[in-house]
Formats: sequence, C-alpha cells, structure tokens
Amino acid sequence: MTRLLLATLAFYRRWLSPAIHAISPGGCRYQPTCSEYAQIAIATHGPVRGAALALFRLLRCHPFARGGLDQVPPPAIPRPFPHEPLP
Amino acid sequence: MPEIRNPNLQTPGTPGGSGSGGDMRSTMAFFVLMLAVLFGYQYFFKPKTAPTPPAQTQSQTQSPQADATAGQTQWAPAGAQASGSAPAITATSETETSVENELYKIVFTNRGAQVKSWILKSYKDTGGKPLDMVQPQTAARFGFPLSFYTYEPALTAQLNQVLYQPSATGLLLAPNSLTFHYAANGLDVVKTLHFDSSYVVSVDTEVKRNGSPVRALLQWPAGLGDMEEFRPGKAPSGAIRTVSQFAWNIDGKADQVVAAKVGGYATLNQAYQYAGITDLYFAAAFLPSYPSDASVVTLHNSVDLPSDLSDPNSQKKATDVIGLAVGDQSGSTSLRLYAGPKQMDVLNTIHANGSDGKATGPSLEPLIHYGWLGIVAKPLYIALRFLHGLLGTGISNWGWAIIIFTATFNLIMLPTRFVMMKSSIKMARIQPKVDAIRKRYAHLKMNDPKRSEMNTEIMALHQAEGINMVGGCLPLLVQMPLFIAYFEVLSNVIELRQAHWFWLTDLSLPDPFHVLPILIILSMFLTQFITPSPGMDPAQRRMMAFMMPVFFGFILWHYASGLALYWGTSNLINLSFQLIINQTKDGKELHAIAAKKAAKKLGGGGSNQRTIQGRR
Repeated sequence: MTRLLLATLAFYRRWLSPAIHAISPGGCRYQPTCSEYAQIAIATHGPVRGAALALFRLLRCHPFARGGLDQVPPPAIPRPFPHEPLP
Repeated sequence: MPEIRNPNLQTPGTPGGSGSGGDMRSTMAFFVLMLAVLFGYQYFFKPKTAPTPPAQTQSQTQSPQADATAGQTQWAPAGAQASGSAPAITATSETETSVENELYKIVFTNRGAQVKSWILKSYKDTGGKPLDMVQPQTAARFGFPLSFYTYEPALTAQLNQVLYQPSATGLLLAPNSLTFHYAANGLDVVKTLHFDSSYVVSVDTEVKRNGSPVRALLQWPAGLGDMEEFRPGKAPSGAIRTVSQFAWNIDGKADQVVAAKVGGYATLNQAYQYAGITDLYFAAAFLPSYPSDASVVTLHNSVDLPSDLSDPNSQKKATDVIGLAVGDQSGSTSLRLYAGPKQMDVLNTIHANGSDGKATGPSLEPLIHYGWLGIVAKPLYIALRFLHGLLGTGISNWGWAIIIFTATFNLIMLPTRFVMMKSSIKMARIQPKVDAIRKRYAHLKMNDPKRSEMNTEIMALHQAEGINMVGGCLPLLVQMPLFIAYFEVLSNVIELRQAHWFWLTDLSLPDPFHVLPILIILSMFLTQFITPSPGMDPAQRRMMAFMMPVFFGFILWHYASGLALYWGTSNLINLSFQLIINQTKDGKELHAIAAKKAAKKLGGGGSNQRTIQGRR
C-alpha cells in the first residue's frame, strides 16, 4: 500500500504536476510542496496516518494561510511502557 | 524571523499530546470524508438504470390492459343503459378541444377528458419539430396527462375511457375555461380547467359515485416528451444522459430523486407544495391548492428501449418511466399544473400555495439543477444571464455573453497572473542553487529525518531571495471549478439549449465543424511553446507541450461547444498576454535562463532532439 501510494505520488510529481502548472502558473506557498509532504508523510508514518497528514496539509493550503516552512512531524517515539502513576 | 512562524505548524517535539487518540480521530475524520465523497459521487453521477424489481414491473406493465378489459366488462353497459333514473350526461362521439395561448397549444380529447398533446410553442425538439410535452410512446401505454388515477383499477379505466361532454369543442383562446362532464350509471364526474397566459393550468375535479365522493387523483402518468432517454440517436457527447427525476417541495424544502429510485404506486400523504417530474430541460409539476391535504402517488413503469435509439434492432434494455398522480385527501381535487421549461425567469414567478391556500409558498425555481458544482455554476449562470440581458435585444446572444464574461474574468485575474510571473522569474534565478541543494540530499530516502534539513535550507534560500508564494494554488483553484461550472451550466440550463453563435447551431452540443477544438489545440500549443518554464526538464516539457493541448482538445471536441468557446477565448487572451510579457525585460531574462538550462541538460554533442524551450 505504501509503495503504491508513493508510486502514485511520484507519477503525479513527474507528469501531472507540470501539467497543472502549465495551465496556471504559480508555485506553492509551503515548503515542502504538498506532494513532497505527502511522500515524506507516507514514508515515515505509513499509509493511513501519512495520508491523513497529507490531507490536512492540503486543507491548510488556502488563500488565508501564510505558507512557509511546514515540515512533516517526526514519528512519535514509541514509549516502552504506558504512563506510570506519579508518586 | 517572523516570516517562518506558521500558526498551523505542528511543533515537532510533542510526542505525548497527540498519541493514539489524535491518530484515531484524524483517521476517522479521513474515513468520514472519504465516505462523504463516495456517497456524493454516487448521488450526483446518477446510476444509469438501476434494475427495477421484476415482479413490480411485470404487474405494472400488464395492468393497463387488465384494467381496460375489467373496466369494459363491468361498466360497459353504462352508455347503453343511459335511460336510468338520472339523466345521463355523456357524449356520443369523440371530439377534440384545443386551447391555445402565446406559450402552448394543448389538445384535449373528450374520451377520458385527457390531454393528447401539449405543444410548447417556444421550443423545438431535437428533430426540429415543435416540442410536445406528451411522450407519445409511453402515453399510449400508460396513459395521457390529466387523466384520472383512483385506487380501483376498474374505475380508473372507466373514468379514462368514457366520453365526456365538453363545454366547448374546436379551438379556444386563453384566458378561458373548459369543463368536461360525465354523469351516468351512478357516476358524476366533473373536470374543470382554467387557462391563462402563463404555462400554468389550474384544474378542479369532482368524482362522485352514488352521491358520495371518490378519491380521484389527476395524473401525469409517464414521462415527458423531451426525455433524454428517448432522444433518438446516440447521446451527443457519449456522455451521461440526464435521466428523469421526481422533484418535490415539502414545507419549503426542495428535493429530488432519480427515476430508478422512485417507488412504484406508493401513496405519499405529506404537505407537498409541489410535486413534479422533470427531465433535463422541462418539467411537469403539480401544485396542490391545499398542500396540507395533498396526496401524491408515484407511478413507476418501465419500457424496453433499443440501446441505440437510431437502430431499432439493437439490443433492448429496460428504461424507467416515472409519472405522478396528485390529488387531495378529501376526494375532490384542486390543483395547478405547470408544464413547461425549467427556465429561471419563468419558474421564479410561479409560487406554490402556502397553508393559507394562497400562492405565497416557494417558487418552482429549485426544479433547475446545476449539477454537483451548483455553488459555482448558479452564480455563473446568473452572471451570464445578466450579460445576456445587458447586450440588449439586438445582439442578444449567449455566445457573446460567454466571451465577454471570460474576457472580464481573465482581466480580473491578470494581476495575480502578473505576480505569479514575477515570482516564477525569481524562482528561475535561484533554480540552480535549489538544484544544488536537492542534489546533496538526493541520496537520502524519503523517510530519512535529514530530508527536513533540505527543506529548511531551501526555505532559507527563498527567504534570502525574498520569494513569497502568496498566490499559491489560487489561480488553479479558481480556474478548474470555473471550467466545471461552465460545463454544468452548458449542459443543464435551458437557455443554452439550441442557442446559436455564428456557425455553432447549439452551444450545448459539440461544434459541428470542429473549428473551435482545432483552434484551441493550436493556441494551447502555441502558449506552451512561448511560455518559459525553467523548472522542467526537456522531456517533461515536450510531453506537456503536446499532451496538454491534445488532452484538452479531445475533451472539448466531444462536449458542449460553449465550453470550447470559453476555453478558446481564455486561451487566446492568455496567449496574447504571454506575448506581451515575453517582450518585457523580465520575460526576456526568463527566456534566457530557460534556454541556457535546456541547452545544458541536453548536453553539447549530437542533440538531434530539439528543445522547444526558450524560443520565441
């Protein structure tokens, strides 16, 4: 699944994205771009969480957002045990 | 640096807060969204013909014949034994009465006091003949408009077959009224119709058997004359044919359902302010005088039509034909019937009755659908209509309205385009540096945490050069919905049906002489050709330069020519704008950069592959 999604994204970035930018010029308000963000997110967080992250990133791209640097959050470090009650 | 601060940015080091709970929530939100998209898709892209339960279809298709024979045996002596106690009121022979106004010509027959044909004078069918709201094939099988529907098949058949005494025969000019009366054998039936100068006909009926009222509804039994399902020939675009729908309004809430999902012979006793059947461009809607007592019966039949209507021998497939019977729960029915085009101006003036029995309810306007992007399509239609009105009667033409709107829109978008151009020039200047950074990190995998450093570095570079992509994907986000909205308007709005513009005979059908698609392919290719875009490598670029025009040309070849008119106009404007930009200092610089880059990419030797980059 992860590989399938990544392949789709790669295809998009290679062939479809330039097509879109050919119709209307412009760039992205975020760095990394949404598609790159999605690639990184899916690679690091897996298909489900990664796709969700990418989706919310897409929703963040709107005319009232300032844009700028918006990195994929690093995966949460798995805790060895659940919360221990404080003394 | 305040610019880097992003309020939406999740700070990278928060492992505790968004644990499994946040994960679940976002996942669930995602699935809900996906489901919504799925259902939305299924809802709006109507399934062609959902299979109807065979048992139901069977009983319905057979019922008219069965009714007829039953009615004959049971009630046939009625005419002969007219010399009963009460004086019989009936006619001895079949006569026709036509009612005519500026908009329609309705032909009634006194056999069943029903409508034989309902010609809309302002519209022509696809064959160029005056448009008849009565679909002859289905009407012959399932019944004609304004005939009766009762819960006793034998009575229904009789009511629709006996000869009524008309108050007038021959030609009547509206405003006028017409009464059909039949009284014999214990039955007393009166059907009174009033006509005015609008599309609306008001009907009052009273059916009594042995002095007590019988609940009899008025029906529009089977589809409309211009139904897409019956359009001869192939679908114009190989596209979706719009199937008939059952549309209604209860308490001001309008809704509709496609033919295949309409239940057969279901009685709905709700406060229908109107209930109608619609096809793509026309509607027949009943407006009960007293919505609170309204009673609606949905009629669902199916006929076998050849899958290719121009070839009668092609494979048959079942097609849904829906109808309605509307009346009053009290028995005697009083309602108005609108049978006409789904045109905004007309529908806006026709209001359903409110609870007080006056025409204060909602208008019929929701009968018009603008497809799944109605939010954009409807304003677009209103804008086009405004321009169309502005042009005056002399050159009033929808083609010009489309061109003017497109030109205005492009001019409004010009500043954004210009800003975009500027920032892409800056981007082109630093492209080598960006490439260098990317190269350094290229060996890293996608999930390597070090990749984030690359983006930080690129961002820092952007900052240093003062690049600010404020426009973002805005131009695209505006342009694509507009394209779809045009598509929806052109394929749903009746004014654009058979609207002509120079050689285009119908803006809602493809260009008959293929002029526009060719023009578009050429202009798109030319625009691609002269637009520098240093970010792409030559292979990509060549692909785009050829594929995009071909792709769009192909789409526009098969769909409404009005869409091609829009895209063509917009293309020509962009082309000329690009030509101007290319003459400016910035434009020249960009070309120089692009040409240099392309030359470098291809390498010195043996470049029989010519780039299409950077020439003018």
